[in-house]
Amino acid sequence: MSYQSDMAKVKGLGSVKHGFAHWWMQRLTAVLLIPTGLFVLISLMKLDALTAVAVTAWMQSPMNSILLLLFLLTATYHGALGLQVVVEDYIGNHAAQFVFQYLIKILMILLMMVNTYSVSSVLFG
Amino acid sequence: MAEFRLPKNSRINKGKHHKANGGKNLTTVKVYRWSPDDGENPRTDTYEVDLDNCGPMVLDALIKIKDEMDSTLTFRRSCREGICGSCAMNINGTNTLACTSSIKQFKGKEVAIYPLPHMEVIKDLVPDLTHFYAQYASIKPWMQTDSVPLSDKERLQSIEDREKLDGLYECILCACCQTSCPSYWWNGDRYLGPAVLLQSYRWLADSRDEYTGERLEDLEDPFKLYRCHTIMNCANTCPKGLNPGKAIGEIKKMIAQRHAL
Amino acid sequence: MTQAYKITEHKFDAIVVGAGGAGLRATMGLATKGISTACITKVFPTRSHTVAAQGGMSASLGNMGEDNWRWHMYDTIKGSDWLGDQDAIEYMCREAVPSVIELEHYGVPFSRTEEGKIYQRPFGGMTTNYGEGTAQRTCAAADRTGHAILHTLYQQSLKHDASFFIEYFAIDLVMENGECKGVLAWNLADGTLHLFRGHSVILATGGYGRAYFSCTSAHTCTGDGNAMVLRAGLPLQDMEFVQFHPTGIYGAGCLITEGVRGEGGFLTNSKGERFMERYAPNAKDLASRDVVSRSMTIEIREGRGVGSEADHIHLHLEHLGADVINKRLPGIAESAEIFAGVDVAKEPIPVLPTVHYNMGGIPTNYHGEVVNKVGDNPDQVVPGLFAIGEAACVSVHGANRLGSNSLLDLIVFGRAVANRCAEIIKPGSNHSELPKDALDQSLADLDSARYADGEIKTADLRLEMQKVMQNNAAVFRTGEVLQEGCEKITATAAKLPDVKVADRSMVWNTDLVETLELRNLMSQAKVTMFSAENRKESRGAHAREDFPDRNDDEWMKHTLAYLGEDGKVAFDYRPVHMNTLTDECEVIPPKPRVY
Repeated sequence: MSYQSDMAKVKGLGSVKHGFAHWWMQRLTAVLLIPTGLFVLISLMKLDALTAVAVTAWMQSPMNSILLLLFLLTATYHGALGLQVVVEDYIGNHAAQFVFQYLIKILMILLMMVNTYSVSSVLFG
Repeated sequence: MAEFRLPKNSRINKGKHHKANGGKNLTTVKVYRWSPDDGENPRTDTYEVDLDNCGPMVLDALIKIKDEMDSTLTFRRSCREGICGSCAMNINGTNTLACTSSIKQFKGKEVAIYPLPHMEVIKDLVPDLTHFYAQYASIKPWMQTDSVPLSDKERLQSIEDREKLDGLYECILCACCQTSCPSYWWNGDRYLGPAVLLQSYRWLADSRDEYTGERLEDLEDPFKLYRCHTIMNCANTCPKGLNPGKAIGEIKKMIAQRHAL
Repeated sequence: MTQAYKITEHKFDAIVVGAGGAGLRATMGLATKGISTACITKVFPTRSHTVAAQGGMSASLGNMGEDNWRWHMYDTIKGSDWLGDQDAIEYMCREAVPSVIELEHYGVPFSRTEEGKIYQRPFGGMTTNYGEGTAQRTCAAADRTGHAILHTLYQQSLKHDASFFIEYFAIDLVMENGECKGVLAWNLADGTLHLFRGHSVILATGGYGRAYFSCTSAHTCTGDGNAMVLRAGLPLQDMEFVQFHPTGIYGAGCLITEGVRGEGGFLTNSKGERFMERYAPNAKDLASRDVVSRSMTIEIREGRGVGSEADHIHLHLEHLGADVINKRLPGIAESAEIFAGVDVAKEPIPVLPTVHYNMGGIPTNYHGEVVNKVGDNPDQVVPGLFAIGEAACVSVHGANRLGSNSLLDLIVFGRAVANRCAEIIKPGSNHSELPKDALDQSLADLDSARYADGEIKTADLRLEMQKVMQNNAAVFRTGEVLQEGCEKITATAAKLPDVKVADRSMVWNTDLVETLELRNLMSQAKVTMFSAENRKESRGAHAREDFPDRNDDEWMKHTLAYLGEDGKVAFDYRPVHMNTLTDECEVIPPKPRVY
């Protein structure tokens, strides 16, 4: 039971006056995923065989590696943004929200580091 | 928090069956019933309605049931011509106005009528809309200006600028779109919802209003506005053929224009 | 008795009952003047029937050609068949211009002209230069003007923080020594009863179209305010004048605006003839509504109706072209499609004269103060009680209202009543103690209706009443049919105590609401039938075949009808105000009324 007015409930904590950046980055990354994703996909399909040797050889071209890394980082970031929305949508509990959102962000950074390390180790290794 | 089952006291039981007194062209109308007085769970009552002796719309069938079979059946209705927005309800899975929804389209089938989804029910088909109305009031849905117009002259507006309000001002606040939106189901406490955002855009699009910036500032919020995931149930269900999803898109575009991209 | 119902008391300076155009205009007007105001309404404000008004609101802005409020005044008086009070009509037509400008400033999305001004269309009975030309006087927002205005007024009320009590059903006025002290109302959402105390009680409860079987009115148009006034022992005025709108959709009864004919639409009979040219050679399809409705009825009666039963008329707008239809009449196209299955760009709409508006109602002066005839004074003000909108009879519409004068009436007098209350109320002043038994009768009535366990269903009795009204108080009337109507409606009304209510709850008990509404309708139906029988002349919407002419010597007066506790109808009369407010215009003396 709450005697709060309807208007107080609706106004809640008020507008945070942001949200655009998230929305915009999600769309920007989505757009970026199309050419980079297609490039990676077509390149891999063009290989004679999907063997470790062939892929490593392909990755040793700096051009290929940079685009691959761009794709992986964008995908990770895009995924994290998306997951953030899923959590916001479906997890109402504030403490749970907090835990999940941090997990997502840490996971994203970890994944990005792994991405960067893996691609560069092939390229320079 | 999303829940996967209805709470115990909301699970729907089988209700009474009201037989028609003869008639050839019978259709079964199944209606959600719940009364706050008896502490019982909701139930669905079924009524056999003779379409040969009934007006053409679902509302006519409901009125016939109330008049002839069961006067305790409770629903809102007023204009019966689709302009007041009272009789919004869920008819065979679609939120719409009972008064403009033909009953003949369900000939030979069962018609299932429920209150607008995911709203608290006051009684039978009457949902509690106070939160929706408060959300509407919260966006300051009135003309805001600093300049004072001449007291004996109207503000001028070109035909083209006036046309920008078409598809917006016609909204009847029936809440069909609002309660069809999954995002509103999960986050209705914070998300303004399609109907209220359509009304926001009605004022953003009005060439006479001078508070566009303030309005946009208030709307830019991950929950108030950006809960819209362009699911577009709103546009599909609007009984007046409006497109709240598009209006929300326009708001997002306007906010984008404010920012350095 | 009173123990069983707990009553919450609220104290305000002013109480507005009803949240249609008039009620909202009054509410926001009072709120802006710093008067604490409660608006009680049985439906959410934007669901009130003003929302269904289509064509527009008249005001001599002159945006589409020369115009003058004096011409508007002349048209309104002629339209009223000289039963309208000329001081009130002058007030309304003068105030029309600032009122509509105000609405534009509030944000009403009016359609526009090339110069960016408010678009105005021709309407029935609206002329230039005292009957010479056709005036374009009706300010329109496509064909959804009522919707646009009602929503804007609600928005303005929100802006000014008016207190709304939504889905509260008003049960009775609280009267003490001939003064109105407040209103008793029932909150449908939780079933509680509330006493609203106010120094002014403003009834804006609309018409009672649902007394008839076929009407353009909403289900909620049950004239609750009129009935409360009758129960308080006060009279209703000119109740015999019921307007039939020429173009209700055949079968469904939904309204098709006169604006269709304003934009160039016309009526035809089964021979394809534009018959209005015969009845009104000048104005043709844009003659006033009573004239068009009678002409259509004669055509049908003489066998020239359309359809398999030759029982309706065709309204054409195919020739207007898709562009005009989409721009100016989009709502009509939608309604005709849904309710008549007609594509207006290709086929005519089947229409029939349908009950639309009640010229009669609670007698008031042009400030909105309710008046009664006491002794020799025909204009004795009832302290604390006001009425506006369709519920009121100011009388600006007299025996017949012109199309688009109704939205005007709502706004002008909603505004006027707010101004008047601001003059006479001392904000925050004390409310007197009410006698202990002040609510007993109302509560007893409510309780007996709630537990009514008779033989007749509310719906059946309502249908019986509606059929009597439809058959015996129609477009054309005769003494014989009206006398029969009086007997029948008396017999029907006598069955009211034998009604049956199945729902005993207090929360959203629409069974009980409909029963209380039926009680309200019944008293008005009765008064209407008796008033019609009583007036032995033809004037405006009241067309007696046994008295085909207007009789100014005997009948240029307002009927006051009282309903006694014994159910008997008693009559008295008030003179028509044949004076103007200022010397800026002249009294229009009665003339034969031809269009």
